[in-house]
Amino acid sequence: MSFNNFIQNLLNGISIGSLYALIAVGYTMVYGILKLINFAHGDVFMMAVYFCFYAVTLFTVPWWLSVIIAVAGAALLGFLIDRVAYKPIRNAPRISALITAIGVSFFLESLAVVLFSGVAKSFRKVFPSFLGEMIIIGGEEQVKYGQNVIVGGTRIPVITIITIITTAAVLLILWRIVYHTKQGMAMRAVSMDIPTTSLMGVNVNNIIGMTFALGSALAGIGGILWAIRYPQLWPYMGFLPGIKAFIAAILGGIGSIFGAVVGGLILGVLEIMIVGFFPSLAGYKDAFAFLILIVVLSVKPSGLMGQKEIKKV
Amino acid sequence: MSANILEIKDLHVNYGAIKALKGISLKVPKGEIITIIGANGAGKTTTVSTIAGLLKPIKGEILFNDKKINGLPSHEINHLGISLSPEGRRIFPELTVLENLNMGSYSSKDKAKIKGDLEIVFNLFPRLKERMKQLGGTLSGGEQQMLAIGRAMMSSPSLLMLDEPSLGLAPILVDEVFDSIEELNKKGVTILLIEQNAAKALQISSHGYVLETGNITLSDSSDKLLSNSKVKEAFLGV
Repeated sequence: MSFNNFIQNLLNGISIGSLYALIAVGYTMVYGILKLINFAHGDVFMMAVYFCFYAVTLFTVPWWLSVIIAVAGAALLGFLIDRVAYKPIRNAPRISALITAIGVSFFLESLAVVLFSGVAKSFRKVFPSFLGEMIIIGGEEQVKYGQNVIVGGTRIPVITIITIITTAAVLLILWRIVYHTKQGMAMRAVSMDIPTTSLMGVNVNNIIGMTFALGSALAGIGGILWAIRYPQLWPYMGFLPGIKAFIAAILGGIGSIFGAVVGGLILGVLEIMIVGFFPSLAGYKDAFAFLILIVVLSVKPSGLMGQKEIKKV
Repeated sequence: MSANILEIKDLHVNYGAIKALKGISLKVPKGEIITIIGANGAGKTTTVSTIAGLLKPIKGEILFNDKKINGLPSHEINHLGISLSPEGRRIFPELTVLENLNMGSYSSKDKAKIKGDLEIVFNLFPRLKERMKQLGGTLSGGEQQMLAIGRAMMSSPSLLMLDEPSLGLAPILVDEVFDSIEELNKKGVTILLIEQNAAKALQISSHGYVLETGNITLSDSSDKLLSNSKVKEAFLGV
């Protein structure tokens, strides 16, 4: 692999990894407070992209406004999912909540098929075209087929750069919220001890709702960036990114926000590098993520940053 | 308004099929220290947990300042001015000492008042000020108990309930904790104290209730309970 190629692959991997990280953070935050794997998380990701798509195509709002609408819509959807599906069974055994989560996921996917049809839509014309361009560093100009083209050099898609910068900014804001606001402190307290937090005068359900909204907003941002990169919309588009992000959260240690980010980046870079170094394995790209899951679960189930669960008797 | 800040009438509470409280009634007069003593499993923690809203009674009434509060969620009961320092301290291990205290004043929006309350807690427990930035989980047992009491004080409650504040503490620390309870009471806070250390609890309280397997079997002024032969035999080891 040439140096140019390596840089391209590395940035590409970091960018995909950032998207996994954005989604994984939502999984890990909800798990942190409720010990629930919210399998509907990938479907919130999908819904956000549809919100964005229809805001632009049907309601002709400017693209930047559609982003705000979609992210707010995702946050509201996450909040509603908790209120409608999870809150009524808060004290039920964890397996009930897990089955409910799978049910919510199927419901959202089927709802999307009914509302938006199962036929894939193109996201290509929704956003300005500069997002689809490449930045080319180096290379030489040649005339080919009667046109001036640049041959060689390092090619970096604009969206790769935007994804990395956006993710960094969003995670910084999240960190400020979790570690430097009163509500963030309450979120951390809820993740340690729900009854005692309520004794402090904290409305725990509101804090849980806020956690769902935050995680879902992040998934929404991830969804839009994903759709610019892979501009095909369909009701099941959230499934694979959702599962990969889940694996990233497990790899980083579920419950840890920092772990989810690290896990996402590792998964993204590894996935791209495997294909880059061994092109013949490209077909196994997705299977590779599951291999990581199996290895992590059998070697270090608590993940890289996760804490060993101590069950007090 | 009656002289009682808290009144419980015929309270029944179940843990699944187990009847934990079988119809207890008690009164907590404003400005006093009232204690509930009893052996393990008598229902002491159940009583304060129910007052705090963590458990729901199946029958009976809890009146706070003459208003019925049973059935309210625990965060609303906290907003009314009842604070519980729960059994086993239950401090947040991965929040700093300061954050733990800030959790106590979560529902207060008056920053000057929070600062003032923080000063009061730090005056009472200077050790907490020294360890302000340390994680709660790294404190010793005694310090954690101070933190739990301090945290419960941070909402400036009119009724402070303390569940076994001396549990697991070295004798010298027990004295310290009881001194601070008395000091708090002098500042006007009504205190409902749950204790296994009956002698200590009866020394600082004005009235005591003896709880046995879900029933109140004795209720008298603390002085009389201290000299009661049954209490002496069962709790004071005399």
